[in-house]
This record gives sequence, structure tokens and C-alpha cells, in this order.
Amino acid sequence: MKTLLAGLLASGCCVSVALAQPPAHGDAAAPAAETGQKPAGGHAGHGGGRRAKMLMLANADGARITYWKPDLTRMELSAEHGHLTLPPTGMDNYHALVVEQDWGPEKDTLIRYEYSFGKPSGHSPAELTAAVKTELEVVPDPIPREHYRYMAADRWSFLVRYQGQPLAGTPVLLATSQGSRLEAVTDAAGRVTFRLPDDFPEVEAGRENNTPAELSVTASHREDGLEFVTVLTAPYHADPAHWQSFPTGVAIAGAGFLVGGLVGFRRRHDNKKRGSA
Amino acid sequence: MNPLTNLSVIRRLVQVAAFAFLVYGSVVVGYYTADKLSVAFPALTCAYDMRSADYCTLIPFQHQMAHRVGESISNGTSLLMGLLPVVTTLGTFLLLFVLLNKAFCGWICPLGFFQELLGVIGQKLGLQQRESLAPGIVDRLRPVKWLMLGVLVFSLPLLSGLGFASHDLVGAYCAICPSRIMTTLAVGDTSQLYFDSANPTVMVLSVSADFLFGAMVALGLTTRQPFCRICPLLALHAAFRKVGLARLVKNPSPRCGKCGLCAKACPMDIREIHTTEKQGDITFADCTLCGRCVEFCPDQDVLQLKYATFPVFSASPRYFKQRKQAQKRWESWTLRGWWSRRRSPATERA
Repeated sequence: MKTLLAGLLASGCCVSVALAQPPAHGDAAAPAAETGQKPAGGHAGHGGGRRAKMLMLANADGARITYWKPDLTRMELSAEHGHLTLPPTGMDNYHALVVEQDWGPEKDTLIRYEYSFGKPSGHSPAELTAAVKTELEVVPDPIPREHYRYMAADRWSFLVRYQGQPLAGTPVLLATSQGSRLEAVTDAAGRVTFRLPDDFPEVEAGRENNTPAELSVTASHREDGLEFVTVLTAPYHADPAHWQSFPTGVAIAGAGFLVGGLVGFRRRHDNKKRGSA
Repeated sequence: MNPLTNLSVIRRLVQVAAFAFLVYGSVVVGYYTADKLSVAFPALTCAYDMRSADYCTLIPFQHQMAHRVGESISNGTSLLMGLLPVVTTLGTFLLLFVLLNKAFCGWICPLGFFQELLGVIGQKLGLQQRESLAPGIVDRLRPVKWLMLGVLVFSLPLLSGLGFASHDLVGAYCAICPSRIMTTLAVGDTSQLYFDSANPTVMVLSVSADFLFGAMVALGLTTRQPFCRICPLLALHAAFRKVGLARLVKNPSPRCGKCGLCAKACPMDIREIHTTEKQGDITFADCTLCGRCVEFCPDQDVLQLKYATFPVFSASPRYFKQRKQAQKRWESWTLRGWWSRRRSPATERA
């Protein structure tokens, strides 16, 4: 059991969003969600809306599952047949799912930040990421803000903390469900930065036409004869540079500049003529 | 003239501070603390800017029209529940709006400041500045801001929520907004200047955005506030301008009909400041409460900026004279003039 969970942790497949999750934006996404060919849609942080979210959880028998709300209050959850329902809390903003599995000499933890809609919580997600949720944690630094999300080819940083303190010199593994693996070591502040792999095998034009993949950031630490393993999982999206062109954008802005300049010049010329007349 | 008594200098300092805070504000208040400040700030700054300290109120309006009002109608659920978030956004917008009224445009808005900066650059480069747009052009441009507000901010997102239009139109205004490109470029992020080939809708939107941004930059070098004239926030502000505490007040004098300096000074070319004979609050729909008309009014107390009933800044002949001289000195130095003086032989100069 322990080996299996560890193996899953390393491959970053421990938790995945269930395809039964209701689509966020109307009927257009419904068939896609059922077949699993398309993402639930929507913009960053909007997926799932105010409804319950369902996640699949592997190897979580006997695990302690805690759901942290933005105001740092907690609720205990339990998985049934590998399915975990995240109930709507009525609170807006990021929530943290923390799954802790104690194997005796080894303690494994899985953390996932989920955005839920509701009434404004009045709390910054920085409070949630700063809160000590378990002994060893990989923390997004920062967590993506609205209109942003983890995207391939983007650089994102993570902090590794043990009992709330940054852990320097710790090897960190970033693995994706597409098979990429990157390794790095935390700096003195416990921070590690990765350029997310641009490893989507087939990219279609348009973000909503590409199913997000999963990434996991894993770190381990030994203390007093105990081995702590922690993994942060999150979805990441295809790099929009595949269908968005910056040089063409600059060229169009340049054309706008020329036309705007021409209009300004003609008006000045007309004014001058009127003035001299 | 002491620069610290010059209203335009004071306004510029406020604009610089507001620009730094609104565009780079998360550096001060913390990356994610920023979003607690407001999601309905009545200034045109942007959620797409990862360093910003607030969100433009047009973002929640568009999303609520699509995801709350539109979806509640199409799903047959309570329309009241759909409208409630829109009313809440409007309420928070008005809470802040009451404090400064349309002075947000003239004193706070980052895009407004950016355009004024372009004007300064154009003037210093020696490009001839257009004093005023022709009345015909001004009249034709005035309804555009209402169209932008009605169509791009409210109608298209609503149609998208109802399922009659593409989901790409949920943020129809943001998709073409030059502030999205300006604020992100200002923090070194080029990701918002792009041509999107995903589908025809986003293709048109991205081309419009890039073209509009380029045109605004070029026009801003020679023409005052080119985008402000069609900005949907100007329209939103105009709709509620009577509830704001800051206002432009006129006490007409018999000389008003002849002078016209106030209208000439107005960056939005509101000629009615000069022609109206109305006494009291004359905060026009296009007014940004920048105060330039008051600065360039030569008659005592004819124009005033008031906060509620208290005069904050009043026209006076003494200030007018000093301000005019200061403006002349400011405009006399240009790069082109400096360059031609440098190139001309010493004998010629002598």
C-alpha cells in the first residue's frame, strides 16, 4: 500500500478532477465534460462555480482529509470508493484540500488548492498559503491570481516549508501527467522555480479546446527517523503561444499607430490650412 | 509660479502616485492582498495586470451579466438572484464614486494619465499639438462611449450568458480595452499584446484591441485624451455624476460669452462650459474634473471646483496670469527646438 501511494505521488497522479464535475459555462461544455475531451471551461478560478466538486482520490483509505476554507476554518471530509466530494462552502476564493496518510515510518501528504465561488470571504489567499497545514508542505509562491493559471512555458515558484519554516537545499521534483520530469533544489529561502514543461502532445487553437493536464511538485524530508513526503498537485494549461502570436500583435498595433499618426497628421494639416485661410 | 500652487502640477503628482499604486500596487499591499481592496474600483486598471492593486469595475459587470443575469434567465432560475450581484457591484462602485465623482478620470485613472503622458511626450518632441477637435467630430464621438458601455459591457456579455453569442464575448470590452495592454506592458508582461487565431471571434477582438492600442498611442502624441472620449467608464461615471460630491460649478459673468478660454483649455473639448448660462453644478457628461477650465478662467470665481458645498479651487485673475505664463514657459521648450538651436551656427544665434 505504502509503495503504491509513493509511486503514485512520484508520478503525480494521486488526485485528479473527476469528469463528473458539472460544466461551469452552460451546455456547450457539457458533452466535453462527459467525454473528457475538453476542460470544464471558464477562466481562471471560475471552474466549478458554486457547486460541489468531485475529485478522485487514490490510496486514501484511512487517510485524514481536511478541507481548509479561506478563513482558515476546517472541515473533515471522507472519501467513498475513491471519490471525494468537495462541498460548496458558500465562501469565495481558494480552499485547500489536505490529505494526510500516516504509514508509520513515513508520512505522505497531498495538497491541492481549489477555487470556489460564494460570498466574499474577506480573506486573502496569502493567509491560506501561509497557514501551516501539515509538517512538510509545498506552497505555491504565489498562487495564480484571477485571469491567471498555471500554463506551460510559464515560470512559477514554490516554497518548501517544514513546520512553517523554509527548507533550504531540498531536492524538488516537478512531474506532469504528460510524462515530463524536472528537478531542482530549493534556495536559502526554500524557494524553487520551474519553467513548466510545454509538453502537450497535441495542441488545438483556443484554451478551451485543450484539456488541462496535471502537475505535481514533490519534496521529501527526513527528521527524527521519520520520512515526510509531500506533493502539491494542480492543473496546468497549454501554452497560448501555440495560437496567439506576439509579433503579429505588435505588427497590428504598429498598423494602428501608423493609421492613428496619419489621422493626427491630416487633422493638423487641415487645421493649418483653415488657420492660414 | 510656484509649482506647488499650480493645480496641473498637483494633479500630475496625484496621477503619478495613483498610477504607481494601481499598476504596481501589489508590491505595496502584497500580491494577493491586492484583490481585497476592491473588485469595483471606479478606475480603469486591470485584473490582467498581475501587479495591480485593484480591479476595474467593468470586469465584474461583464461577468455578472453573463454568468449571473444571462444564465439565470436561460436556466429559468430567479432573475432577482441573478441581478443581486450586479446591484452589489453597482453599490460598491457608487460608494467609491460618491467620494470623488468623475475626478477619478482626471486624477486617478492610469489610462487617462498614460494618454496625458503621451501628450507631454508629443509636445516635448515638437509635434504640433491639436488644441481642440472640431465641434462636429466631438459631437460624433460623444455617443460612442454609451455604445461601448451598452454593447460591450452589458449587451454582448448578457447575450453570451443567454447562449445567443459566443462565450468569447463574456469579457467583450476587456478583450478590446487598451488599458489591458497598457498596464500589462507597464509591468513588463507582453502576454496581452497578441493576435489570437483560435476562432474568428477572438481574431476580430484581438485585432481590434491591438489596432486600437496602436492608434491611441499615435493619436495621444498630438491629440488630447483620444481614448477617454469613447471610454465606457466615462459613460458609467456620467450616468451617476449627480451623486458625486466633487463637482464643477459655474457662476456665469457677462464676459463668459466672449472669452471661451475655459473650453479651449478643456482636454475633452466641452465647449458647453463656455456657452452654458446655467448657474451651479455644470459637471458635464464628458467632464473629468481635471480643473483646467478653472485654471484658465480669467474671471474671479466664475468657475469653481467644489467638494459638496465647499469651494476647493476657484478661478482668479491673478492665478490665471501666472498659470498662462507658466504654460508658455512649459510649452516653449521642445526637443525639436533645442535640436535646431544646437545645429544653427553661433553667428546666426547671435
